[in-house]
Amino acid sequence: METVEKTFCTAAMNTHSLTYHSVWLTFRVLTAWYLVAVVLEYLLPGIITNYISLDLFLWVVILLGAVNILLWKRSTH
Amino acid sequence: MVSSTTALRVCINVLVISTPILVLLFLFAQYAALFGTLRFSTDFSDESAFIDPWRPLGRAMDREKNLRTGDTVQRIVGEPVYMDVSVPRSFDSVDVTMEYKNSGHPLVEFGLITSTEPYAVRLQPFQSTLIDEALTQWNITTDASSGLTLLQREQQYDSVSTFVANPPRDAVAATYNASIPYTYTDATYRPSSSTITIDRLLRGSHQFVVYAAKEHLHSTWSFVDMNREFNDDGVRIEVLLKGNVIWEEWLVDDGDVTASGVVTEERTLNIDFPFVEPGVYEYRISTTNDMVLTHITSDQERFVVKNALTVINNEEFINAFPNVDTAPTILTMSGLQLRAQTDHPAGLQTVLIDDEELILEEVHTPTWWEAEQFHELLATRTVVLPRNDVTIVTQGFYAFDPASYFDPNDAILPLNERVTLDLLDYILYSNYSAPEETNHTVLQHVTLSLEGVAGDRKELTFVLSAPGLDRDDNELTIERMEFIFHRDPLWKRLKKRFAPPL
Repeated sequence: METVEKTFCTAAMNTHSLTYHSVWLTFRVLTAWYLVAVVLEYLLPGIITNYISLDLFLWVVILLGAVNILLWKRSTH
Repeated sequence: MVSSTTALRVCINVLVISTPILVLLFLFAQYAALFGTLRFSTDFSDESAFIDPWRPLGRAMDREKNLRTGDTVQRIVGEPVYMDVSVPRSFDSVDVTMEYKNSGHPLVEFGLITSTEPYAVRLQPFQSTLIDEALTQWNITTDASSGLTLLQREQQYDSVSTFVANPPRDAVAATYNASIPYTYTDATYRPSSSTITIDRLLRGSHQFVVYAAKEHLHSTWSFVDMNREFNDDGVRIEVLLKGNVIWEEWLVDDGDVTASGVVTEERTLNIDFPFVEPGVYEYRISTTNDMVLTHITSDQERFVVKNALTVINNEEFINAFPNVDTAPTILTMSGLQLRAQTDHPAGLQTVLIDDEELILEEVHTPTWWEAEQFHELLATRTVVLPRNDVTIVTQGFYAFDPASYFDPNDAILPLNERVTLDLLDYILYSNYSAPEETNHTVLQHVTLSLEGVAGDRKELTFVLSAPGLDRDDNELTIERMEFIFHRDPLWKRLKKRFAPPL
């Protein structure tokens, strides 16, 4: 019984860790790309905004940041 | 377990990092039009990096948002209006789609400015409610080789070519974006033994049309260069028969390309063709506004001016022409509309068209007159220009003497916004297809070639023209515009560039 519980806890921890890792990585990558997109849009007007809304892009980054903080708090408790 | 988690982490890393790179590569490819197309659109809800809203303000209203539906539109109440579009590359052609509401204006045209100096616009048919209505009721005959379509109230012609070769003389036909060689003939015509003389001062480019039959086609043209502007004031004179240039001559500049204001000596050019076949001959004179036609003589009595006429017998030009005759100019005119404009305060006046007044109150401002009795399609009117120094434009002809007047088109009219279907028996047009209409919204597509557009073709100005829109209180409500620009894809351009010479 103990072995089953231990395995389950390890699996849950791994899943949580993987989710946290994914969100954290995505957040960092998207933040970097948002900055790149802003600079590119300034240099080549329309290259990004013709297809992607920079405002929407920023909201996605902010939401990811918020989710990331929630996951981080869960992992430290 | 650990190794599978690590593998999963690596996969996530690759996915998260490579996706934005692929997206960015795609965006670059689109922006640089590597695949040959660049597509963008606007629904006016937000600013676009490529498209500016319609201008100028006054003719085009500010963008308006419907708070109930959330849709944003731009209303057009005057014309022409312009839309500036910037593209990162130069392209060969563009497909434009416009979704709009038309409150009832009969004629809309779309195009682009091909050159600003000299100003040139290329317009294409966009919407003609008259043709749309005729398409649903009349007989349709098309000719694939010429691209012409003939609409007949009652079918009298089997083919378009028969109609073009032998247009009707007892019925009224209109042409739109299509031309028919002048059809006028007169079996009773006898060559005149006298010579007509025109001593009015005519500024800039003009077109004259004469009828001649088995006689010498003879005329003389005297020019003076006012040298008011910095430019080369050459003159090109062409003689055309059935739309083909049969003779051409250049008169070079007087050597003064500065704005010295020095008026040079009068120079005269003779045009002489022995025993020409019966027909309508056109003299086309292309020059700058510095050149003034001071004296014209013609052995052909039937002699009219086509479309536009600028007479400058006014004290404004007394320095250039000290003995200028400022008496009013009296013309015989065909045409159902007249646009008049003066560029000097001395030219502000009241133009008379029969008994009707057309008051020019401001300089540089076109002022319009329209016939009230529009059913009198072929009537002629007397136009009086009391002070001259005015440019008048009509879709018809003017004669300086009623005896000289004739209508080279017979009963064939250019289609305009005031012509109604009940007045016509035939319509000949090209390059037009009726728009899709759904729920009061019109969806129309047009393909414009960008060949011949001046500059690097990255800054384009599109033109929307709806002649008479401001006068008939209609409006166009533009809801959405889409542009798809085309050029050869990168591989094709590389292939062309590095292809071995033939």
